[in-house]
Amino acid sequence: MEVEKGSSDVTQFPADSLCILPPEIITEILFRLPVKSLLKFRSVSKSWLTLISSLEFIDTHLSLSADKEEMLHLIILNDLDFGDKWCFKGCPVASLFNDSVTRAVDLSYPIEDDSYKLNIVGGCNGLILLANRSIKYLVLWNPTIRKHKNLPEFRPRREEPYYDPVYGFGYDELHHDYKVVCIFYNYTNDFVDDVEVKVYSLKSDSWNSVEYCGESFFIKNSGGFYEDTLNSLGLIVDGKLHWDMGRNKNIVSFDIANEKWNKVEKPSSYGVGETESFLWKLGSNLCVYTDYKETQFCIWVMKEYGVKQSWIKKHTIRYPNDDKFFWPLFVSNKGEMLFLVRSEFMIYNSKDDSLRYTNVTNRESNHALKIYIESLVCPFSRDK
Amino acid sequence: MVKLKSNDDKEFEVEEAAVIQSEMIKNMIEDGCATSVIPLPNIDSKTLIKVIEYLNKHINMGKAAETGEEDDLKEFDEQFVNMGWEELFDVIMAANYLNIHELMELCCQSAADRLKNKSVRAVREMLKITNDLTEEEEQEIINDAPWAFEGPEIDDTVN
Repeated sequence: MEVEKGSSDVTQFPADSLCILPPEIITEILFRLPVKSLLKFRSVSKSWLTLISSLEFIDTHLSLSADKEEMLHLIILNDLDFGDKWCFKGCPVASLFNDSVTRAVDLSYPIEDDSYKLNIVGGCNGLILLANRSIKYLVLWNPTIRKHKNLPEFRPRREEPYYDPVYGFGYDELHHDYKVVCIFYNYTNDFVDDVEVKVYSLKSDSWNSVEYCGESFFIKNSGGFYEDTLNSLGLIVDGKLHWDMGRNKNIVSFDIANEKWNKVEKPSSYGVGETESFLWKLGSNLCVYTDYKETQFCIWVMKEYGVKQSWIKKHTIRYPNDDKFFWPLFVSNKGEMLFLVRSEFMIYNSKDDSLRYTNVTNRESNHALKIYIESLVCPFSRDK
Repeated sequence: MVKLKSNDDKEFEVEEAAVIQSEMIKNMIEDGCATSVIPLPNIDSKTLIKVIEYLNKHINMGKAAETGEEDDLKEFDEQFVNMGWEELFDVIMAANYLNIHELMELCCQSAADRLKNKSVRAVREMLKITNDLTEEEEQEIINDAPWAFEGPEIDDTVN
C-alpha cells in the first residue's frame, strides 16, 4: 500500500495523519494492554516503539495495572528437593480464583547455569530478586519480559562465618530507583558480633555501605553481642522495608528513599489465649498473624501506618483441617484470601467464612512462592 | 434538565444528575454557562444517544454497591461496549471530549481487549497506522521477544 507519510516531525506521536484516533487516545488504550501484547505492538510503528519503551509509559502502565487482578501472577520455585530440575513455574492469580484447576507453566530460567540454585528473596513492580545462598550471586529478573541483570559482586568486610543474609528489595519513589538491601550477621561462637548493611542502587549500579539501625534498636548483652537479628524478607509498606525483630518485639523499618531506620510498634496486647506467630502484609497494610490455642489464627492489621492505636483484629479463621502449616499469599479485591496450606492452595472468603481449595498442577514443590505483577519494568539501569 | 445539541442539530434533554458525570458539563453548569442549549460540535446524534444511555444508567453509581445493583451495572457495561469498532471510537472521542472518566475507562479497556490478541498487521489496519519501521528494525523488535509474536491466541483478522 502506497501511503504518504504523515508529518515530517517524527518526534510527534504518532506522526501519522491517517491514524483514525488521536495520539492521546491511542496512549490511553495501550495503557490497558497486557505486557505480552505491548511487546508485540512495539513493532507497529516507530512512534509506538518510542511510546511503549518510554519510562513514563512504563510507569503509568504499571500504576494502572496495580489494582487489576488479571495482571497478577504467582511464581513458584521448583527445587531439587522435589522436582528433577531447579526452575520456576508460574500461573495467573485470576485463574487460581476462577478455576478449580490451574496448570502452571514453565518460566524461562533467567541464567543458563541452573546449578546456581537461585531462590526468590524479594519482589517489587514486576521485578524479582533472586539470590543463591552463598550471596555471591544476585539476579534481578523480570519474568514477564524475560530480562535479567546480574548484580555486581561484592564482598562483606569480614569473611565467613555469617548467617544467610537478610534481604530487602523495593522501589525508591523519590529517586526513581530500585534498591536491594543486604544485611550480614557475622558471628563468633554462635554470637552475632558484627553486622554489615549493604545497599545496591540500580541507577548507580553499585553497592554502598549503610549504617546498621543503631544501638537503641537492639540490646547488646554484656559480651557486646547482639541479642536479636532481623528476620525473614523485607516487607514493603509505605515506601519502607520492614523486618520483624522477633516475637513481641518491635518491627524495624528502613526507608528506601532516605535510607533511614525506624521502629514500628506492634499491638500492645493481643486477645486472651493468642500468641504472636509472624509479621506479614494484608493488602497494603502491615499485619501480625497470631495463633489462638492451636485451633484458630487471627490477623491483626495496622490500619494507619505508624499509629500504634490503629492495630485491630480483623480476621479470626479456623485452621483448615487443623493444619497450622500455612502461608498467606494474596487478598483479592472481593476480600477473598489465598493461602498455601502445606502443598494445597486454599481460598478463604471472609464474607461468609467459607473455605475452598484450588489445584495447581505441573509443579512438584512449593518452597518459595511470590505474587508478582506483570510489568514492562526493565531490570537494567533506569537512566536513559 | 440540561439540553444538549449534537452536531447534526438534534436536541436532547438530560437530567442534571446524569449529565454532571461529564466533568466538562459539570464545570459549565457551575460557571453558569449552561442556561440554554449546550452545543456539542464534535458529537453526532447517534453517538450522543449512546452516551446519554450510559449516563442515565450510571446515575448514583456510588449507591449501586449498597443496593446490590453492582452486577446489574456490570452486565449493562458489558452489553454497552458490544458495538462496532468505529462506533466504539466515536464513543471514546465523545467521552474524552465530555471528560466522562468512567465511560472513557470502560471503552478504552474494551478497545484494548479487542486489540490484545491481534497480529501487528491487523492492528495497523484496524487503526490505519502506517508502518514506518524498516524491515531490519522490525526484525530486531521481534528478535528481542519472539515469544510475544507466537501463540495460538494471535488473531490476524481485522474485526
